[in-house]
Amino acid sequence: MKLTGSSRQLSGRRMSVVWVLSLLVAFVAGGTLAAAATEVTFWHALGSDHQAVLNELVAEFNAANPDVVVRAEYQGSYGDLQTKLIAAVSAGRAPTVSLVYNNWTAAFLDAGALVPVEQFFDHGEHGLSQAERDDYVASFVAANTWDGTWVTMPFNKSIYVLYYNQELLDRAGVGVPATMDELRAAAKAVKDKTGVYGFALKADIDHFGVFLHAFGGRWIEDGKTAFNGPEGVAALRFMQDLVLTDGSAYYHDGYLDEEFNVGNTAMFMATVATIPWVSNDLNWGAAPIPAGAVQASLVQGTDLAIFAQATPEEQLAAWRFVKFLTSPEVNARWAVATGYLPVRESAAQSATYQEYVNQDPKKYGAGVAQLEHAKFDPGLAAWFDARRNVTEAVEEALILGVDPQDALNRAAQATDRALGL
Amino acid sequence: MKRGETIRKRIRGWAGLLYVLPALSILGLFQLAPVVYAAWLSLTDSNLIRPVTNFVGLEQYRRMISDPSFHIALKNTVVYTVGVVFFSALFGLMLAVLLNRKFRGVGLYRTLLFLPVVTATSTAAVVWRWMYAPNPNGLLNRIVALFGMESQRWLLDPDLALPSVMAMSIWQSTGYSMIIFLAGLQNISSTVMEAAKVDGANWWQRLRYITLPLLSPTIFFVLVISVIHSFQAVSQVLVLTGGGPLRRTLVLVYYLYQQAFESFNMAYGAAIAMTLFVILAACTWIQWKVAEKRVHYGE
Repeated sequence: MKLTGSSRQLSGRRMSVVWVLSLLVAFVAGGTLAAAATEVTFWHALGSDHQAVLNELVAEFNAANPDVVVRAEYQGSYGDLQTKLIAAVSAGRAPTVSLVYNNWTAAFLDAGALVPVEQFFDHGEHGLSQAERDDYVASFVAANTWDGTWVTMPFNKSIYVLYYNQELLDRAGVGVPATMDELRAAAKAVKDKTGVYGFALKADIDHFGVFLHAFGGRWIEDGKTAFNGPEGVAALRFMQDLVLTDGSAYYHDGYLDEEFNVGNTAMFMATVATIPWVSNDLNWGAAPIPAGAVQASLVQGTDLAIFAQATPEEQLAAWRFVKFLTSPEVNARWAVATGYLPVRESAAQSATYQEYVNQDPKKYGAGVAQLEHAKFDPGLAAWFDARRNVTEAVEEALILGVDPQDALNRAAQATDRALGL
Repeated sequence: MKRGETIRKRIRGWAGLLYVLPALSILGLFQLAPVVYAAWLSLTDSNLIRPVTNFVGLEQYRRMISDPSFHIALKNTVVYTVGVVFFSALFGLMLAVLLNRKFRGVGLYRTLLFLPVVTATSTAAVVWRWMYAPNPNGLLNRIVALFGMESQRWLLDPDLALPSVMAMSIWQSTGYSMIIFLAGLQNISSTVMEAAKVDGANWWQRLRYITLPLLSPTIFFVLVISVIHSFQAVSQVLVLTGGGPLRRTLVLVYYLYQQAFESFNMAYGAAIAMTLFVILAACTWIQWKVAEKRVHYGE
C-alpha cells in the first residue's frame, strides 16, 4: 500500500514536472512560431479559373516564405468587396492587403487607411531597386500615383480589345476593322449580308469611354470634365449611328461574350480578361480597338493596396507578397494563365509571355500591343457618381435617341457637381 | 402591511423587466442602436472610413430635396409598392378563397404557391433574369410568341423594366398574402356562413357581406406588412436591372446602397434610410387610423 502510495506521489510529482516542461516548450515554440509566421489576409474578387491560378501563386509564396502566411480570401463580386472593405476599415479590422479599383484607392487614401507601396522601396532586404521600379509599365505607375506618391501596385489589369468572328466577317466580305469608319462599314456589311448583328455594345460609361478616347477625347482636362467636348459628342454620335441610324448594332446589359459565343453578333468590345470565356468553337480573333482620331484603349482592373491598420510587420510581409505577385516571372505566368496584362516590361518580353502570344498572335497579341496607347479612368473618389451620370447619358442617346451633345452636357454638369469642380 | 405590498408589487414589476431583458437587449443592440446610429450619421458628413466626422446638421436632407435621383427613386418605389401590394393582395385573396376548401391535393397546392416566398429573392431573380432574356430564345419571349406577339427586351425596355421587376415581386409575395388570408378565412365561423346560406345569400353576397367584412383585420395586416416589405425591395433590382435602364427601376433602398457603399456617401445613405423610416412609420400610422374606422373586428 505504502509503496503504491509513494509511487503514486512520485508519479504525481513527475507529472507536474512534465507539465511544466511541456508548457515551457509550448510557450517557447509558440513564441518562435508566432514570430516566424506573420499572417497576411488578402482580399480579392477573383472567381472561378482566376481564383485557382491565384491560389496556386499564394501557395507558392507561402512555401517559399515560411515566416509569412498569406490567406487569400475571396469576397464575392467587386461590389461586395467594396462594401466589405468599407465595413472592415470602419470597424478597425481591415485586411492586410486587398485588390482595389483606383477610385476606391482615392477614398481610402483620403481616409488615411492605406500605406503607399513606395514606403517599402528603400527597405534593404525586401526593397525595390530603381531598375525594378522602372520595369513596371509606366502608364500603370502613373495611374497608381496620387500627388507624386506611388500608392498601389498594378496587378490584374486588362485592356479593351475588339473581338471578331472571322467567319461572319468573311461572309460579309470585310476585313478586321482598323479604323472606326471601317468598323461602322463592317458592322453594316455583316448585318446586310448575313442578317446577324455586326456589333454588340453596352449602353454604359465603359463602352463610351473606349470610343471617347479613340476619338481623341478625355474624361477630365485641366481640372474640368471634358467628355462633353466635340470628341465625346462624336464618340456618342458614332455609337448612336451604329444602333439607331444603321441598325447594325444593339445594346445589351449582360455579358457580351455570351452573345458572341451563340452567334448573335460578329463583333464586340471587352477587355482581354474575357479571353478565357470566348468559345473556341468559333474562329475568333482579338484586334486593337479601331482608331478614331487616334489609336487608344481603356484600361480596367484592380491594384494591390496595403492597409494601414495592420502592424508594421504585417505590412512588410504584405509588401513582400505584393512584390512577389508582380515579380517578372510570376507576373508572366499569371498573365498567361488568366489573360490579364503583364504589368512589367520584362514580364511582357519574357519567353513565357512571348510564347503565349506567339501560339496565336491573332488572339493574344492585341492586348499588350495597345499598352502604349493605354488610357485610364480618373482616380477620384467621387468617380462612381460620374459613372452613373455618363451611363445615363449613353442610355438616353441609345434608347431614347436624345442628341449626344444635350445628353453629355447634362452628365457633365451633374459630374461637376459630384466632383465639386 | 400596505407598504410591504407596494414594495412587493414594485419588485414584481422589476422582475417583469428582467424577464423581457434578454429579448429587449437583443432588439436594442441589433435594431434600436443601429437606428439611432444611422440617425446620428445622417447629420454628419461621414463616409465611415474617414477618421474625422463633422456635424453638418440637416445638410444631407437639404441635398435630398434637390437630388433628382432621389425623387425618381421615391416615385419608382411608390409605383412599385402600389402595384405589388395591390396585385399580390388581390391574387393572394383569390387563391385563398379557392383553396379554403377541402379537396384532394389542397396541401400540395398551398405548398407550391407558398414556395416562392421561402425562395431567396436573389436566387429567384437570377432565374427570372433568364426568363426575361431579351433575345427570341428567352423563355418569356417564346411564350409571347405563341400568342403571335413580338419579342420584347423586357428588362432593357424603359417602359417594360419596372413592370417586369414588379411581376417577379408579385409572384414572390402572393403566396405570403395567400397564407395569411387563408388563416383569416378559417377563423370565420361556419355558423354565420350557414345562416346566410339558409337565408338564400348567393356566393357573391356571402363573399361581399360576410367574408370580406370579417376578413378586414387580416386584409389590414397584409396591407401593412406588404407596404413595409415593398418599400424595402432591393435584391430583385440589384440582380435584374441594377436600377436601369434610365433609372426607371431605381428604388429607394437600392439608391441608398449605391450612395452609401459605392459612392462613399455613408451619411447621405443614412439620411435616405431615415427618410424611408419616417415614410414607413407614417404609412403604418395612416393605415392604423383608417383601420380604426373601417376594420371590423370579431363577430
